[in-house]
Amino acid sequence: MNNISIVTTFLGGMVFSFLLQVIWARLVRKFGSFGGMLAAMLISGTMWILNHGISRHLVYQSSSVWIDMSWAAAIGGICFSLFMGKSLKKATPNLFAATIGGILSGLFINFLTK
Amino acid sequence: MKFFKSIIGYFLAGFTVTMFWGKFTLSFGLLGGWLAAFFLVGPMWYINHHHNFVSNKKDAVFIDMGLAIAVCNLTVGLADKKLSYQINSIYTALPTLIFLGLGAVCGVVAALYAEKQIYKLKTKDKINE
Repeated sequence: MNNISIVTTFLGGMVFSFLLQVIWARLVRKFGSFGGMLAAMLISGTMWILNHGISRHLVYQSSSVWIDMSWAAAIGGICFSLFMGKSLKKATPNLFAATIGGILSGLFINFLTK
Repeated sequence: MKFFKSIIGYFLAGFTVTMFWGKFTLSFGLLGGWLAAFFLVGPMWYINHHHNFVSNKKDAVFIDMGLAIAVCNLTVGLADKKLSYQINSIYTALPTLIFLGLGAVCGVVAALYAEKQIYKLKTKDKINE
């Protein structure tokens, strides 16, 4: 992983989680649920193109297994509420549910595409 | 139980995004990225977070459905493989994951700073009125 890839991977994650926290809730406040759909397209869509879609994508894959930019969304979402003082202990059920749900859906997709 | 309801919500998010995103980008190229975000992430966000199907508590840390999507992508790449391959690919994936995670943390630090400044400006305007 060369130094440029390190910086672009870092910046891809930073810009994505910054926009997620600053823009999404504001769009929902202004436009309700359609604001959320708009935010999904504007933020996730645009950042996917930059991070994964273009040939000189920002997120460098150092391994054969895919590290999606949603890791940045997840870590960012957790840290944002953590730094605002929310309880990590009360979130452990959801933490387990997300991991289990992710593993089960991955196994299911594997089963379907064999 | 709420826990199993959460699992279903996260399962749905991981499944739809991972399974169908590629179909959009295969047919529409880069435009497929915007379409997939609108038609897959949008409805999944609506169910899981807008109506809180995954039951994130207000005073608890926010567990995004992105975690389920990320774990799903990881699982799809690792399932049905030998243990040596799995361990080796996780090990070689750590650089990407670490730098992506560091970027995410710095991104939210910047966002918190930005929100603080916006709040200061707003309260300054209110006092001056």
